[in-house]
Amino acid sequence: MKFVDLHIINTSLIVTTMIITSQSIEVVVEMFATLPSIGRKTAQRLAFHILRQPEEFIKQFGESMITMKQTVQLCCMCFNFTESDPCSICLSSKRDRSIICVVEQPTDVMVLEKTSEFRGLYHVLHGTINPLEGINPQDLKISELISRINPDVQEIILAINPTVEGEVTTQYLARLIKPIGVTVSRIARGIPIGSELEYADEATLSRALEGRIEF
Amino acid sequence: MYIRTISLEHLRNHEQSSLECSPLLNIITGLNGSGKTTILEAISICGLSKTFLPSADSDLIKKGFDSYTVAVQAISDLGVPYRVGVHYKEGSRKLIHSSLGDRMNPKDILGEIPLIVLSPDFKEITFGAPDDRRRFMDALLSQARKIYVEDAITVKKIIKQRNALLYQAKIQGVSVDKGLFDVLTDQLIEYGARIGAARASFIEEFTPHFLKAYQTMCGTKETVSIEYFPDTQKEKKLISFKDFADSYTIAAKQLEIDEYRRATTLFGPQKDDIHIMIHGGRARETASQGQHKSLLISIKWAEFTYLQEVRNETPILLFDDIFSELDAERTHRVLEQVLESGAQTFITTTEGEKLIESVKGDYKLFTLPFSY
Repeated sequence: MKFVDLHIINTSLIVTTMIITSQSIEVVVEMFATLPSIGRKTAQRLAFHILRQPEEFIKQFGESMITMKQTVQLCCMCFNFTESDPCSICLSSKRDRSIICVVEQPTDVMVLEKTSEFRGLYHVLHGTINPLEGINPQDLKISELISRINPDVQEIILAINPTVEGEVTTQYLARLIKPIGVTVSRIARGIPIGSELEYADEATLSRALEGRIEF
Repeated sequence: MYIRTISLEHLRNHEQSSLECSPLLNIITGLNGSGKTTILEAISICGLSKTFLPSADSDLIKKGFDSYTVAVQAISDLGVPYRVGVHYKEGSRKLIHSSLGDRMNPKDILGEIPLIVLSPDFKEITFGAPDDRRRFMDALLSQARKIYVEDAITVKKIIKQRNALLYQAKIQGVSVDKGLFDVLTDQLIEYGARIGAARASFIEEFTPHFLKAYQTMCGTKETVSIEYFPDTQKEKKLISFKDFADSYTIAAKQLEIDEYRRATTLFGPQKDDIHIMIHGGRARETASQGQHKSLLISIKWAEFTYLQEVRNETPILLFDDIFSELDAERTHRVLEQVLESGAQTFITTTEGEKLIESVKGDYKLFTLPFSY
């Protein structure tokens, strides 16, 4: 199986500080270096590590990625990654269908699921509104969210990251959903559990004060 | 606070330099281009995470190298040691380690070493464009209040997004997504008003410092004042968050059509100005050359006393090429104040001899270039 298409490697990008004696190692290093949070040094380490592994392992390694790409799709309801469409969360009869939690990325579903606290359904937007990078509301799964709101749905929880773009997306969604007549809420912002006030940054602290709760 | 040691590597024309500083006066002298100002820049990078000169980080790296490193060890007024090191490699983010933690964000070290910089470029404060005065205010506020930095970054991002939305619609010849535009407008009003209110209250607090500094530096009874001047409201004084939010809300409505047409944001704290007044007239238009100089040193001295008060820590003074902007008499007055205050001061000058003559008390002299 051929994993690497040589055409996509831009040789001008190859840094000449380290001389690698094999063109094929160079290609693998370049491929690893395209991954997020992997620099050239880590890419080299990974490439040499792979090279030392038995061929059988490398085959499995490569094939697992191909299989992942071929079998994983987006759930037609919540747009999370899934192998069976609709996904197991959307199909589950144990789930509360009156609450939908809106998140940015499939990874957010994963962390929320780990808490085992939330028993409702999810909706993945696949990004935040960011006109600067050409991402407008119609580029996200927003109309799909609106069309999911049926009379059974009572609350939409907005669990979007508290960045500037996330904040804009939250406000945009709130204004869009409220007129439909369902409750719209957002997750709280504040001090992480187990940390100390002393170490919290000023912005988080002032938000935590704003969002204080009466006993 | 005072700096004990400074070390710099591959910064501008410095190969590798380190200085053991006097806790009081440090005079750095040498020929033009010998790297005097670079030492002040190194301090600025450690305190403000960037140079006070309008240079990009990549321009600071010595020719033939791909990174620079600067580090400072300082002692606070209470005797607590503080160290910070900044490493910048071309094409990557600045790596900042300090006593507060490793891999820090530039905004997190802001204000830890309180700095007041006087450089020939700063004369723009009194007679340059509004932009120069906002920069003065922002620089000081960022050192004084950390929350201000967060809000200022947020406002900048919101404006960029809003402008991008307006621009997109214009070049595609379609109408602006009203829902999204309204959200961005409200966000700009909210965060813009925070900035406006923070600046207005800053000016209120800064005024007594400024008046006192002018009196001390000039010894005259000229009436001076300083006022925050929002672009959206020229008749009434705005003070509170609500004042600003209301004023921006009205402006947003009035300017909406214009904003669509010009595809840019036309209201917000990025349009505001401060008016420095002398004898009831705006300094920018009416002050003489001498008055400009007096105003500038008064503002700088007021910055010093203001920052000392709010941070409860004595700031460090950096005077870049002091003689180029001030005459002998004003320099003398400044030095007198500086020595009296006991603040650590770094002065660069080509005329070291001349400066030493007017200094009473202890000082340390550094003559560049250092021999390696």
